[in-house]
Amino acid sequence: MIYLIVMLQILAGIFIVGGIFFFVAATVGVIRMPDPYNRAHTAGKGDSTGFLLSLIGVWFYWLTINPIRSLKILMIIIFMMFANPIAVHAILRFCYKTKVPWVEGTTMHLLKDREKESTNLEE
Amino acid sequence: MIELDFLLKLAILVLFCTIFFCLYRAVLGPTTADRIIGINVVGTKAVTAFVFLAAIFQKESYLDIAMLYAMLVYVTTIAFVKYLEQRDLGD
Repeated sequence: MIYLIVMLQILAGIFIVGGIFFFVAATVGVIRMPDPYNRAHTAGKGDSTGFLLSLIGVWFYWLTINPIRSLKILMIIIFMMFANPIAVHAILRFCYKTKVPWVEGTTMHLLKDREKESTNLEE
Repeated sequence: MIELDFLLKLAILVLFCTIFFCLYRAVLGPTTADRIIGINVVGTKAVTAFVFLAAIFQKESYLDIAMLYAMLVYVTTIAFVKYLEQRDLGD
């Protein structure tokens, strides 16, 4: 039993350190990236992954203290796993619809053909 | 047990440093989308800090606050984006 507790705590430490690493990476991206599309991309991926890893680590820690009440953390994880990517997707959709200019040197524009159709539909 | 407590406190310190740097983007962002991204990132990190605090003090009532705050951040982002995109919140 004591080996299980020690194993869970070591796993918790590894997961929390990984999550903090992803949070720091997301912050560097948010500060240094050149335009809102790149910033939202970094924020979405780094934040979601860091949040997931940190909370899984804390969940392992709670399992050693109080296993039943740790289910609340699972609820937060499941909610944020859906909520955060949807929020970032909505932000990017807002950027695209209001025609925020992107950085010089962007080569791919996959929605170029669909742009005319959508404007026709809206009119 | 003691080492993990120290790790959690260090993690909260690092999280608050990164929150400060994200507030820079939220205050000085050139476009509106940058500000919304900054607020979203700050909210996610605040939720994580709440969960870490719950693990340090071993009080599960903090987890309720974290859950509520996660919902609040999500609704705030969606409402801002929808209003700025359509000039109307719909139903």
